Amino acid sequence: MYHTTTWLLWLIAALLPAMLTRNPLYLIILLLAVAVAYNTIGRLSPVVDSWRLFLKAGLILASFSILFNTLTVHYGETVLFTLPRFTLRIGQVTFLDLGGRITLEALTFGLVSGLSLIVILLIFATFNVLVDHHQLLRSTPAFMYQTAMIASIAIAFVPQMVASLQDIREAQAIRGHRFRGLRDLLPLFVPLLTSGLERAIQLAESMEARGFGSEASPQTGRRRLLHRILIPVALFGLLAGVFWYSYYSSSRWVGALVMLGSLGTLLANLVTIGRGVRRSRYRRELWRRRDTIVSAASMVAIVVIGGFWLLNTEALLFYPYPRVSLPSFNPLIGLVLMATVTPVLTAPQMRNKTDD
Amino acid sequence: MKRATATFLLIITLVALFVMSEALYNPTGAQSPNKVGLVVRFGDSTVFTDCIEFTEAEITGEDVLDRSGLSVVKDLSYGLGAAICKIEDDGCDYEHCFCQCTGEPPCEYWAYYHLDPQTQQWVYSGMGASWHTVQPGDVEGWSWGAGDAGGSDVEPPLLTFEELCAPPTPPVVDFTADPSSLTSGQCSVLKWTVQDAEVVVLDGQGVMAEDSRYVCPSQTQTYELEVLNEAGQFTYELIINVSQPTPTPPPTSTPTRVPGATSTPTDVPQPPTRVPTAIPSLGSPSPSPSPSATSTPSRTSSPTVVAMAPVSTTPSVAEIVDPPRQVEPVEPPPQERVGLNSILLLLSVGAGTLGFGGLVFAAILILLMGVYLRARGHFTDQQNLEQ
Repeated sequence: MYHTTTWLLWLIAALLPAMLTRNPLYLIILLLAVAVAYNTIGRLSPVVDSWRLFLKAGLILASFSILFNTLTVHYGETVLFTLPRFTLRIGQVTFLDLGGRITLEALTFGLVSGLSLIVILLIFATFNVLVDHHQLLRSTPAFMYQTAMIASIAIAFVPQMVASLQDIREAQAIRGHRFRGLRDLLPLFVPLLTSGLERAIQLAESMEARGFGSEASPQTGRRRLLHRILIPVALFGLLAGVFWYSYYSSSRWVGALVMLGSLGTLLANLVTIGRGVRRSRYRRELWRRRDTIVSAASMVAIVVIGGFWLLNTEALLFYPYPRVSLPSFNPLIGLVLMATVTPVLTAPQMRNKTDD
Repeated sequence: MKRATATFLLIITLVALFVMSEALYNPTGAQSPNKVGLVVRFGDSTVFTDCIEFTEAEITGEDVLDRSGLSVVKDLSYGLGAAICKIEDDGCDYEHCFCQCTGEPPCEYWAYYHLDPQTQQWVYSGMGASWHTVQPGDVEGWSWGAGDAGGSDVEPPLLTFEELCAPPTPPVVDFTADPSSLTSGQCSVLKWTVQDAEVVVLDGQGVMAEDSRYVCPSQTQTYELEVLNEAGQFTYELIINVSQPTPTPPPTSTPTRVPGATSTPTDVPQPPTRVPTAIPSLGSPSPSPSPSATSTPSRTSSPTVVAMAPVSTTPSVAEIVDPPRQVEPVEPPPQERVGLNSILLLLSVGAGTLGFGGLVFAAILILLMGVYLRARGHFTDQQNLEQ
């Protein structure tokens, strides 16, 4: 429905605020917006049910966060009640300190952390449902074609295995095989193993037949050597630049320059390597007007949230200690979070129905 | 299967028992109150010292800092207990707890020390304050200054537990009358000088620490100076003998005005004699409250003839203001209980303060609901084919 790049931008626009803020008001808006996106356009996907799994995992994680924070953090001024204290200690070191003062602040912090966990998980769940995995793999950069190939095989591995297990089970059931205990697993396991091996050999042969691994335009020995030297140097430069930037706060520009230079060298190298790989596409993705709208909205959200984070971090922060107070709410951030529902508004289905 | 379950349960029980015995084991016993010393050295070299009392067997270093009454900003998001960001005015707020330590030296932060009981030297703490348990008799140190992992340049000043938690000394009092004996109709000057006191009360009235008063008693009169400091409450009595030129009036009992203790108006038995009598005050260092106008300190805990009221109920007391950052009587942090009412109040106040932001928040939620309700019908599985 949308271009893969659009979905990637949407993912960043949704994830950035979810990661940067703990303000429950923004998180609630984000949660509802993602839920709306999921429950409308997400319904078109065949893997629509995966949401439930993510939701369950999110709720379990959140309840852990709430319980752990409430029981172990005794900081905060508003005491709800006091539980008997339970301390696990070895020598002078306290490893676990449960119970004691149960404060509203610790409960709030646990709730907010849990909420942000759920939101992040649900964003990924929605992205999973909305994006076409094959298109996503196909859009990996050219120099990483081998990695992309391996990833696509790995992703296809589990569903293929499940399908073949189903086949084997049915075939064995017809022959009168009944599964009673662990010992009955062997007639299922051995065919699965052999069929898996067979498939692997078949895949390798077909890949070789299509010329996988051979380079379209073979690089000269000198150029290959240059790449082999320059890429590690650029990576090391990147690392050194990051260190300089974060450690020597008085001369940050040096670190920034080293970082940029190394990044440039690295990208140039990778692009030259990628140029050697020629790719053909059977089906091209189209960039439509709605892609432009959604991408623009996502970019605005990314820029605004990033700007707030760089210039006015306090607008995003929420910290209940030492005394809980209601979170602040900036209307601009709130509105920008609505970018997450733009794919719903511009979806072709919305227009078709009204035309009818 | 069953055996595995049983083994599992056994292991769980053993672990639980071990943990519980560890938790219940109390090596120090229940001698109360326990004390630890606290030394905090601020960035401008001023030093705060305190002696923290607690009733638990042991507390954490974080508790010690909390109970000192200093304002402390902590960051709990590191997951390793609280990081101390700020004490009073030195340090950073929680948004960036180590804002003075961003890599390149100088790296300034609140360094945490323990006083080694054997060598009496400061030892840089290997653990955070939340994880370090403090035994009675320990001394905790905090110092704001440049440092590195493993030590800081500026140690807190060396002060031992005895110096920090020395039992408080009684106030130094000089309480005299001039002249100390007079005939009726004459007047005398009461003079007092008090050091190391928090509250000074003369006959139920709060007075300055160093002052005098002009008195003209018509008969023999006892003046009481009550002085309160950390060591307790002390009463100093001064008797001015008044010799009557005329025949003695019938014996009168002078009810001493004791503030607050209205239920027990104590009568000091005053024998109608001209001979001054010693007021029996047990436990007083000098057992001679002679008419020579010397003051006799007597602890209130000891049974004196004069009933004393608890000082906390004293109306109008002149407090001697401590110099800033001085030791104050330590009280455990007040534990508030929040009820449904206060939560409701919080919510209503919050709705008011949110104002415009709250309106926009509600509008966005309604908008989202609207988008969902409008779009819901458009995305059905049949339209999947259209794609």
